[in-house]
Amino acid sequence: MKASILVPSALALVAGLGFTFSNTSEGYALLSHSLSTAQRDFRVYNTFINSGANNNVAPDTQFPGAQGAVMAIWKGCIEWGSRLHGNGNGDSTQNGDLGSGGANFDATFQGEANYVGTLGDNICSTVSGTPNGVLAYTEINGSGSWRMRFYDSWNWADGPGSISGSQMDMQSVACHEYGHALGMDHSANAQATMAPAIGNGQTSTRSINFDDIAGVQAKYGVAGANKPIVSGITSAVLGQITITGSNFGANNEVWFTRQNFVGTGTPLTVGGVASTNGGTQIVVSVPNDAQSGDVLVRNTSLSGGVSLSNAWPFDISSIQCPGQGTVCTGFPNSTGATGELYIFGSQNVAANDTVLTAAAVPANQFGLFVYGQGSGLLPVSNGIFCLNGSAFYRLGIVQTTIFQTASYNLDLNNLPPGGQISAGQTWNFQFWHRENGGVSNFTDAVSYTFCN
Amino acid sequence: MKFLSPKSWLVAAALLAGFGTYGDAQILRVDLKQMVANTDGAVFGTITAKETIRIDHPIDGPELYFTTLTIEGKSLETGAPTTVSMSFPGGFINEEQGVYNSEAPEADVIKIGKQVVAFHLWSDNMGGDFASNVLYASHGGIYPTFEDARGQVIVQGRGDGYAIPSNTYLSKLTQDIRQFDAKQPR
Repeated sequence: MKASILVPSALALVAGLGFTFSNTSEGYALLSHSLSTAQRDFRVYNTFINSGANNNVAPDTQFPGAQGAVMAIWKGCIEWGSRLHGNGNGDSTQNGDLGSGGANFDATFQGEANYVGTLGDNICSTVSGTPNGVLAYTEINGSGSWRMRFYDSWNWADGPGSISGSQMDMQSVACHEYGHALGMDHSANAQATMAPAIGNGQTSTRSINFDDIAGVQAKYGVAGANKPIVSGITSAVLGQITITGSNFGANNEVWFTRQNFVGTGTPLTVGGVASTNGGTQIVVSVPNDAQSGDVLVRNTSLSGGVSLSNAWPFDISSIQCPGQGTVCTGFPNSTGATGELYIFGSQNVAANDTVLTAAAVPANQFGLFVYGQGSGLLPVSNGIFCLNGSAFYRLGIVQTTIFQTASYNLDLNNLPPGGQISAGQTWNFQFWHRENGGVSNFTDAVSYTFCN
Repeated sequence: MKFLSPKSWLVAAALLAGFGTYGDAQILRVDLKQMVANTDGAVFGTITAKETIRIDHPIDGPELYFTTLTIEGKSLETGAPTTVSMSFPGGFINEEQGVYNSEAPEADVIKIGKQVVAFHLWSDNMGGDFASNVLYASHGGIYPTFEDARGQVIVQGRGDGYAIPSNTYLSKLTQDIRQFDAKQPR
């Protein structure tokens, strides 16, 4: 059990605001400040010039959308999180172990910034100059915000895995510096991430040790039993996610990572979100300006760090409406060209604004658009039908123009029986038209996904 | 049992004076031999001046603060009298302007009149295009001294990871530095 803190009476009034407390029974020491839940964001201004700082271009499902220095710093910061970040993977030196703090503390990755930032913008960036023994530093603003600087002239390595003996490990240093940002001072424990010095090639401090954990728990408290927990994210409907976990409130805020270079680091939030299934499930629409990053849930009936869940990786490509794709390419028609199909619109079912347009087709000929979910190829007359193998549906007959085009407004509320289109479905479209001489031909076929 | 560290008093004093920002840093792990190899020299002497400047740089950003110490004493390599100015990032211009960055040495170590051992290295750019002698590794490059009952100067060690990890007599430190320095290529 820790002894009580000794505070000289003359300074007792400000003890809670400004002192650094060292702990002699354990190695850790604490700075005076804490980060409020409004200061849990961090961003990266990636201007590292050393090639080793940005040569990790391998995507990682646990750090979607990031690579290089951004990913390394992201890993370093979320190591302090209350629980595993996703499955905890992302670095072979600490597989299944990223997110080890166990405290009422979690941070939110808010993407990349495009400026250095002032002392309190919570941005990690580089600073020029010769190293002179200092790797990086964190400046803390009295209001509980910070700025982190890495001396750019070091031979940085972004990992993952081991690094060469001549390199300096960015993830380890980021983890150490973020410890300062959240209120940890240097530790007397030589094995701690918060030990003051690090050697070339050293990666062991990527993972916070028992002393660091004791420190962050002393600062923020051991993760409360009522703290929200995110344990999974799925998407059954495009544009929406289902968050599973526990301790979700009746009224929640869901935090997303905002798009790069937008905003001031304030988390992108969706408020007023109810939970279901006894506080174990949340369904929420993803805001337009979200990007791949992390999702956190804040139970608004609680306050402080216990109200905010762990960070869980979220890949926005899993919920975005896919773009158009080519199903097959047609054969040349009597114009000498191959007919082409274009689909215009927002892909939003409610907007009902889809327009089908054929181009490079013979002028003044009748034709019709067809659609289905098959994609088999079947030669028909002079062309090739690309929607074979499943039911297909015919839309109204149109006449091509003298400009060798044809268009059709697809009314989702007035479709052929059996051909109803719903959000989340992908359909294939093609234009079938007459040719001179009583034969027919097709444009290419295009797949198109409809979303909410 | 927890005690207030020296830094506690600094931060408390800063708060009482209206200071608003402080910081922390990570330094390269070096032993004394490496420190001697990495630096231009070491000096034992008294801090006689201290000045902080602010640079707002178009690339490195706003509010870069650097503090320069002037130390008058003797070179530990040659024993010759010397005066060396050396800088580190951080510090306060006044009660309103500055950043406390514990990459910087603790305030009680760098008070004017304090006797210290310090290691320095010239830099054309410490950040923000500021050229100066650098206090190498900031808080890892300066060590307070005190005298024992016989008047022998003791250099205060800083612990694991620092060039001087434990207390040592200045005479012994000087001997070690000269030994390492003699082996450096010239």
